[in-house]
Amino acid sequence: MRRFSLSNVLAQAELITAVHMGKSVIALVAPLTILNAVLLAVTGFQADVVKGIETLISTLYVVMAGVMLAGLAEELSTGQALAYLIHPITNREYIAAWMLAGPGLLGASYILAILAPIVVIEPSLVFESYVYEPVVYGLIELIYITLIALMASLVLRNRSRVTTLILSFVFLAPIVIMIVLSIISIVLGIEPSLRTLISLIMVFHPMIPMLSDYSDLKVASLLYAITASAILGALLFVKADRLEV
Amino acid sequence: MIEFSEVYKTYRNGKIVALRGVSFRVPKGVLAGFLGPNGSGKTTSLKLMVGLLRRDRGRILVRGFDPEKESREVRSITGFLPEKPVYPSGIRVDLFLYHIAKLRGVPWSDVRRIIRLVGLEKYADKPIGGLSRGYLQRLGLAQALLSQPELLLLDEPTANLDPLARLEILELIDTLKKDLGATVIISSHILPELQLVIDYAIFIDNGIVVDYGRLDELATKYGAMTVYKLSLAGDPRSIARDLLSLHSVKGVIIRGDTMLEVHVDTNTGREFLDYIEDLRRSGLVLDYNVQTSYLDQLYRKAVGGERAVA
Ligand SMILES: Nc1ncnc2c1ncn2[C@@H]1O[C@H](COP(=O)(O)OP(=O)(O)OP(=O)(O)O)[C@@H](O)[C@H]1O
Ligand SMILES: [Mg+2]
Repeated sequence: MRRFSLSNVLAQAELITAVHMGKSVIALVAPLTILNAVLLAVTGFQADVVKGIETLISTLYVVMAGVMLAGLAEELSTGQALAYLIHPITNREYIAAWMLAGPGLLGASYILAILAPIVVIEPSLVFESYVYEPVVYGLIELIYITLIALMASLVLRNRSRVTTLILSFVFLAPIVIMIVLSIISIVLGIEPSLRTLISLIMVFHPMIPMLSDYSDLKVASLLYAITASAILGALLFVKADRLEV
Repeated sequence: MIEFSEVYKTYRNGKIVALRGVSFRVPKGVLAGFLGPNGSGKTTSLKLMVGLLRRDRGRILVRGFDPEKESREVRSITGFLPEKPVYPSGIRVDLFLYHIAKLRGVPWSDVRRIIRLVGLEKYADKPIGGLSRGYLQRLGLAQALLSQPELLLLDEPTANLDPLARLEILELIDTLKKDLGATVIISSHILPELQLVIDYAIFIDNGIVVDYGRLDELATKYGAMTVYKLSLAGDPRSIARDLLSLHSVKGVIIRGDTMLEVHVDTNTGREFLDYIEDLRRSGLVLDYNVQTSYLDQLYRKAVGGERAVA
């Protein structure tokens, strides 16, 4: 028999979308798209503004994604996962469906929310680096965080704990880093560079270096997020094999 | 069809031992009762059969497949009714079943058929969240029966049902078994109603399978009798004498002027029942019913009286 069934993954991803995301994705995409369009039109497509707006939207997306993908934790803790896994879908296909519904579907709608207004208003801008760069970085950050949310769901099996973890990861960690750095600077009298700050926050927000002028950090954050995501993806499959429901 | 040998299973990193060396076989085509008290390891064993859990040690084969390594194969020949099923509450009953049909590669017309079979027509287009517990159990049966599986694993299928629905479900299972020739395992601790349908039993207690086999063989082995209570119109002494001449009757106790307690060998019980029916038609016996089912006795003898559930 087949080792991996793509049609199972697609079918399950569709159901996950319907159960956990259907309305919320539409509720998220529609206003964000409009907000994005309004902000862009009002501010007139300046490079810095575009980057800022896209970073903001990306952050909102990342938070939503983290909260939605904690739905895996819920399926595991309530026993709903069992309702699927007693049928001919393997544990790996089930987890793969979550990976598709999360990073895949949310990623696609993220791209849509950002690019749709631009394509409508000023299509040629899509080829400007200050437009497509944030899209690429935002997408990679989204994938990175959703995979962390899925891993946390498999390990913690508790929806609210996963949500808390993701929110702390996105919001609390950067603040803690800044506080720690300022304490260090006060106590030791060393002035930590902006570069240090960015390279630390990068672990939580691979998108941040994109806003700076450190081109080496930009590359480093891309490499870091892609490598980390690949490792997380592989680990998720390994965990899936050991999954008990 | 199913073979467990020396299977161990613990939870919470070994802190809770659920199965401690479970071994048994279930041949193809039987309708087996998986019987044991609360917490004895029934659900754990059933989940191991389809690779929902991973065993610590031992070997499990389901129609020659290892459920851990070949979960797709095992899951596609098996219909499983979970003990405490949780379904996505916002999804419509029929859409959920269409999804399962997709996973099982079953045509959509089968979904309509199964919805009729379990009596869910009225609720087909309603969200699952609104179903009563009894109807949820029907949905559970529907998803388990959808692809006419070779193997049916039913974890307490009559829980949460009213007495009439219980009988309905048991009859449904019985017919399905006959029609499909499926192998069925029903876990339960409600014994009398199971006696009507099963022909094989596995007794589990405290994580150990204490005995298993064909019911008639087990009955012979343990000398289990069915005890009937008869209310009489005629003289209890002469009826008792007549009854004792039957091959299947192993003992008669006279209780007052109008009552008899008759101990009947389970495997030849038909002879006794035919005889009693004759007496009833002639008016000598007013009524009779089973006081203790032999499954009850088997259970007590196999699992141990003080822990048994009547
Ligand atoms: N997920 C779990 N985590 C920890 N312990 C568990 C878990 N599932 C079962 N157990 C324990 O394993 C043992 C066997 O449980 P199991 O559910 O298999 O019994 P059972 O025979 O199905 O009982 P019941 O008749 O109550 O359904 C029990 O001691 C139970 O407390
Ligand atoms: Mg149980």
